[in-house]
Amino acid sequence: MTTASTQRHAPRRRLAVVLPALLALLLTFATATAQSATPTELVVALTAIGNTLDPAVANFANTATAMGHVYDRIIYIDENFEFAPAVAASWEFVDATTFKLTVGDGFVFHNGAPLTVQDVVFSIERLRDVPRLASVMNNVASTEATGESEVTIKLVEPNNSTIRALMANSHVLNEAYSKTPGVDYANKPIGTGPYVVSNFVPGDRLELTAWADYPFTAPAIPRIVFRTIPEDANRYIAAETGEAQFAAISFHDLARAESNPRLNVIQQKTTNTAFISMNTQKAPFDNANVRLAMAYATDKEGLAVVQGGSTVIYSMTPPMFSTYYASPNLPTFDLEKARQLLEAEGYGPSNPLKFDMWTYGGNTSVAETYQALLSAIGVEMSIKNFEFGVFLEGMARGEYQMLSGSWNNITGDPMSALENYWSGSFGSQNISFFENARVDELYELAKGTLDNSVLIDAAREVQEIAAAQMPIIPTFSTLAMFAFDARLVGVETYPSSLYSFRHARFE
Amino acid sequence: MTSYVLKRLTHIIPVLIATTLLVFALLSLSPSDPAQLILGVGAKPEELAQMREQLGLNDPLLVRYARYMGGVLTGDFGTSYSTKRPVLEMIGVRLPNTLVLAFGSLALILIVAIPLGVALAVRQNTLFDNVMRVLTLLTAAMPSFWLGLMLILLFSVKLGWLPSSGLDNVRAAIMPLVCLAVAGWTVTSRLTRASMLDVVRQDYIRTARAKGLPQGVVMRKHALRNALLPVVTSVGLLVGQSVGGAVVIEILFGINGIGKMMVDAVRQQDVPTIMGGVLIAAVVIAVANLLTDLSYAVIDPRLESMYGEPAA
Amino acid sequence: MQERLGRNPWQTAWRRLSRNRTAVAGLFLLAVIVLACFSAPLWFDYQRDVVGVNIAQRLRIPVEGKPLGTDELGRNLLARILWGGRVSLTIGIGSVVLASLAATLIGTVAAYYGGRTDSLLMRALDVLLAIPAMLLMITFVTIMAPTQTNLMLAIGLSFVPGMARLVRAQVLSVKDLEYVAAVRAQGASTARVLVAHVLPNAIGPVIASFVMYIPGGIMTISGLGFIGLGIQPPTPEWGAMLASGRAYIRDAWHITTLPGAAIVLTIIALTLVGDGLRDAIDSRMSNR
Repeated sequence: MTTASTQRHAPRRRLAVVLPALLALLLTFATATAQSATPTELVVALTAIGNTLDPAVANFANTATAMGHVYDRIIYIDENFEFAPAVAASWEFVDATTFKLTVGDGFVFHNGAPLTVQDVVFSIERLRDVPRLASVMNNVASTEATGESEVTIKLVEPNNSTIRALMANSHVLNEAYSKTPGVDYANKPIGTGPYVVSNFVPGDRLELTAWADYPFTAPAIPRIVFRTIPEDANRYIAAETGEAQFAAISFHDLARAESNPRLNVIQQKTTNTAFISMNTQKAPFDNANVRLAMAYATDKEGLAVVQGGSTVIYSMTPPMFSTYYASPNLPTFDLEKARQLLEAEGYGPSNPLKFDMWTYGGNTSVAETYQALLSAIGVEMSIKNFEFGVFLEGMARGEYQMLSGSWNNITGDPMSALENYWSGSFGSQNISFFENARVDELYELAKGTLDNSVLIDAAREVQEIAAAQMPIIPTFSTLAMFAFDARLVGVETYPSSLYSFRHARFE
Repeated sequence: MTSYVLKRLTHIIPVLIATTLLVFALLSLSPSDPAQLILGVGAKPEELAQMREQLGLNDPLLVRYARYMGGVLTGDFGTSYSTKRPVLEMIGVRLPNTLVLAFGSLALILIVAIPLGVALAVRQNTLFDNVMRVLTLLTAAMPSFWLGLMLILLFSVKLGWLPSSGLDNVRAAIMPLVCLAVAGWTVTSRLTRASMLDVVRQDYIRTARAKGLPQGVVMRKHALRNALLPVVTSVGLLVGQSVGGAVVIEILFGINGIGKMMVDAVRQQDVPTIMGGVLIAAVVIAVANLLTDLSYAVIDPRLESMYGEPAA
Repeated sequence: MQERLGRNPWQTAWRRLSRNRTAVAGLFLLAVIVLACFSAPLWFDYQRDVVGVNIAQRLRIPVEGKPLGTDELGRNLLARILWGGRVSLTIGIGSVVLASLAATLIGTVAAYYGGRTDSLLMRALDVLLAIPAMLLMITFVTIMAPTQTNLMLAIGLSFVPGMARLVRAQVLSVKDLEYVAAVRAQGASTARVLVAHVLPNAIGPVIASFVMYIPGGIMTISGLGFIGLGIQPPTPEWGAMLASGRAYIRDAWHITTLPGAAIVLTIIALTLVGDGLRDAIDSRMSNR
């Protein structure tokens, strides 16, 4: 038994040396590449990259941002939500149902084919196959080439939203290429933008390379790599250690990023709107008093603190929109009042109000905070955490009771202030399935008008109705925050939460 | 040799079939409606009914299973409900990362734990043995994700030496592999130590010693070779543990692998993707077991019957 | 060997265990952890301390009256860790208890009847062994809600194959002992032979091995919690606490470090006790 332990042999010593040597080797290797000169590529750390590169299908800001380097749009929506020239050099509303645009010169697809008006027509008409845009496309009677470089869009009926919604999704694809049988045109895309896709790993990374034959001013950065790093803390660490030169970061790391001399920070005000929505077609929130009680129980300040980097909001419409209106009649945080309202509806200790709240994406801290607030007045709320896709589907089908979520308005459509409560937009903009005859009447009135004051008055009245009926509680708006290599300049960010490196460079 | 391979294969195939059938049957209990998940918002009842018919959801379980496996054998693993991409393509993109994690950590376990176990056996009951015993007790008690968080804090945040996410290069692989290997180090070094101690008590080692062979030769040529046999049998088990452990590690380090794919799929009720993930994991493990058996037979065919069961 | 003849083997085992200092230390640590976790309702109010949010006090350590500080929602971290311990220990121990019952039944039947029954049962268990426990859990969570009971059953199921093999091996070694054959010859029923004579002798050595499964159960449940598929909020769970604390790892070390430390301590305690038990029951092992 003890024979082995009393004697020493050569191999053991060698073994004792191997371990530390191995470790030392690893560490030397590890430190060797830590410092580098001016980057030749830009690594962008994102929360997620979708499984498709078709921006219209993906409906995802990160996809739209990345593909904004590969595709051009027909018309650009600028930082003030105004139309700006892109592939279209000019445009006009001929009348309430006719929109005409002129395609600019010199655009060429990555395969060498020059851009034609037919490609522009195709790029709009193809949106009919995107389920999410069905209601928009239903109002598009026709898209036709009406001249050598002219395209005319005819609407079924006047609606101020339609063209805006089209242009927000108006990436220009090559018709011939997209119709070639067997070609995965979505994920092997050909556009007219300054970058080509050199590698795409669905859900993980997207690599873009500057297109050598780009007919306009060539971009300064030869390679852009979009990488998925789901965790906030890791994404910031990537920026800090130089693994990434640009990262969307969370509020927790903001102060750290600001005090780091090698990083710059952008805080972009966005149209981000967080809310607690209640399904007005389903018990218990088919009762307006119960909904009001929920609004009184909402400590928006507290929720904004938990979220971080957020400001409390009093309207579902972003403040930069002409139709923005904050009703003075909105419920303010008052737990006692909430309790009384519930009691009047027959809910109390013996008959507690119980329901499920849906949320998504794993981080449930806002939902848990709300859960704790409600439990203080005897309300039993369970949190159901879904993957985003499932959440969206269930929301659109109205299968939920209450949900906590947020969205960004990318079209800048002032009509959205009404659409949020309009019965024609069930499951799309009106996720509370709120039905009100007066709101629908006001929507019809506003959608075709060319008189801005009619629109603004209608929006105000709708938002007053919403304040009294409370189908959806606006809670807070979160800034978009980015940390990036201090040598990187010229990044453009937009309130739609999109951004672009087309004019960026390293100094 | 060929007949041995065939024998092992005939053992593995029924297990694989039963395993996939079990998982297939379990997943068919999923409360979600595939037709609804595929057609999405606003599908009409008759469309849903038609889609169910088209998908063959009304057929008996065994028929559906046979159809699924028929597809698998021709390279069709179905289509993901959520990404709408072929599951095989999704697996193809992600499997390399998971394999790097599973086999990289296996290599790391063996490289470190076998010499360590030998050293522990040779220095039984010395200070070194006792210190390592405490150390392995501690490391075995650490959840891999907690160890990973602490490593990120030290090597990424404080020292800035290693990337905190991805699997892009060797540097990025270090922390995930170490996290996965730690549990295996403990188990395998203990196993090696115990097995070494067993072997040195055997008669033929005593004989070798009595013949006056130098200790080093005895340990290397006779003891180690035989002591490694139980370790080799445990390799299949280690691969299984690494494949399972990779799930958490992929989430922690944001690595695009099979595990992360499956966790995403659970939240999406994406049954074909989960099924494909389990199937591929079962195949990887079965192949690893097969290779283990074969290498075992190569090392010493005579011992096959002696060490039928892995040491507990 | 001599001491075994004179006494009840359990007394012997207990005597050996109580002489093993590391095992006693482990037992003491385990007792403290179990007592602290399960007495938590005496010191803390679930509404106020465990799920009650206090945003003004978030991410602090130490806070008066809250020695382990507060988490990202200002909740009392000590209260949450103790409550989380109830969940982990209940699932960890519960799954092992359930699995050992099932495994004892299967293993005994397989060994005692042998032949086709045996090979059929063992092949069936091979099927479960072919899938890593974590992937089996993922399959289960897809089809059912991750409640405490469901998780306990699912984790328990993943333990059955390994445990049943141990039981089977033990029963095989006991069933042909002379005195068992003698009892059988006296015309005792199969059930009686199994329950009164075979099992008591077979089960001792495997009990220690069963205890060694508890740490695995706790690891699995916290791993599931960490990837977001475990016990759902507001019920605190160690793995989930670690996951939600990740975002604050650099500002509030305590909310990731302390739940992790709780896991480590619990598993060390269980391992020491398990090792001690094994050494005490199986004298062959004790001098290793």
